[in-house]
Amino acid sequence: MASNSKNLAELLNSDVTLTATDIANGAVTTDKLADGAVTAVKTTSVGKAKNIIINGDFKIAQRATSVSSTDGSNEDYSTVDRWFFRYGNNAPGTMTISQETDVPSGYGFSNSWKFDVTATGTATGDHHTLFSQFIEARTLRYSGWDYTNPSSYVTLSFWVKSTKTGTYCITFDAADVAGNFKFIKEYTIDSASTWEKKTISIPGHASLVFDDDAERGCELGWNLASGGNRDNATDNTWYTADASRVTPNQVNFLDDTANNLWITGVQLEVGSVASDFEIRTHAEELVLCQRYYEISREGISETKSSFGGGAMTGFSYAAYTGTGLNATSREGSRTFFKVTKRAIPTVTPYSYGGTANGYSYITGGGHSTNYGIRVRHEGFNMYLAAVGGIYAWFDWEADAEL
Amino acid sequence: MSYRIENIEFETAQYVSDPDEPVHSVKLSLTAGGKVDIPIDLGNRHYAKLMELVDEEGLIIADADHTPISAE
Repeated sequence: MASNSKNLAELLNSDVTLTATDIANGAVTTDKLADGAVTAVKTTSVGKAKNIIINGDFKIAQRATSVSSTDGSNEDYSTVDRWFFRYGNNAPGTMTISQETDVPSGYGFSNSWKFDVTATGTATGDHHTLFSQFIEARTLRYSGWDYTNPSSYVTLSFWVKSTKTGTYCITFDAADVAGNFKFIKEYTIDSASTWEKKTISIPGHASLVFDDDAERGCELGWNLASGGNRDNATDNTWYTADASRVTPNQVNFLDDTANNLWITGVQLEVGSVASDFEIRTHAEELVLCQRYYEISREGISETKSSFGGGAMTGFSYAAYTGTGLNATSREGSRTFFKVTKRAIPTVTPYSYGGTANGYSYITGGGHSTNYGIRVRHEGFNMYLAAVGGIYAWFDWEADAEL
Repeated sequence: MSYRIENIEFETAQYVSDPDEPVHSVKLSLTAGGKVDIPIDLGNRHYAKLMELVDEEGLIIADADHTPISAE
């Protein structure tokens, strides 16, 4: 009788569909697997955090859950954590951008991110409209991706649904390589208003560089529209000729106010195969997001939108500061962040009424912008000017996004 | 003349220091009134953009005046 290992080899090579009884429970024990029998590509990321993308299922939204966005208003980081949006080079159009609960069923997702065109626009010249996530250079450098090897890959997978079918482009913009250095890949939305899973593998390149720092390593972007100066790229290549972000086939998603697009389940992982989406707990995802952005509230049921309205709760600063404050006083608040920040963040205090760049005081009631602030990766000191005997209140946000 | 860093529109910029610490941030005087303090850290994207405005648009950051915050 043949050995078990021979039987297993024959079974695996027989190109038949395995049934539940072909390999019994516990049959494949360690001593029956030769060293190297399971290749590295099948074990990469097993047992560790494999998804390089943070908040890929859009469940964390510390800033707001919905905004109306146009050039110069509610661009950049405005809704779901870690996700960036821009009307590049003053691109036209207006969209409502929101966290939603419309998701592909059966995969454990709770949220998606939606783009709803409310005013059309036609991109020209250097215009480019996209959403993206910036990834730290060090994260990519130490990800396990042999990124200077063209035979080594990272694989992007995501679920997308759009009322507008056609060709869209993904752009992997390598920030630490001088000049233009982008990998551009088309994907197609085949059926309107239907969730579709897309998978894109990105090869390494001998010229790729990711510095050993916590700054931008790449921008992974989903393009919605692009002008004529930005649509010269070739599909599925590293493109260096100009600043193009898309191929000529990219649709103009902003051509109709009936257009909507949803996305969720975004995963970037080392290897050439897309595995199931790594679902993290709410608490795990929030902590990952707080390396880049944090508010004085708890960040889930209370967001930045909770600021103002006469309620100071959560981790708002509230303290009796006595009568000792004067023009040269060093008295004030000291606040520690829940998570140490990637860089020294920009800290904005908000008064009782929700007004940015100020604080509230009780004696006499009022809003003051008379403060000094010193910020570190771990927290900040804020010095309040004398306003009599005061009880000082403020909420705050700390922004260290890439 | 006004400048813009994302949603922050401002008119002037001035370094900020304290008696016990050299220059640590830049105070931006907002067009809408009030101020924003940007820490001096090239890893902070607001500060990195501020340096772009200095290099490319001629923004001048005034020296710190070492005046502590004042009483109201």
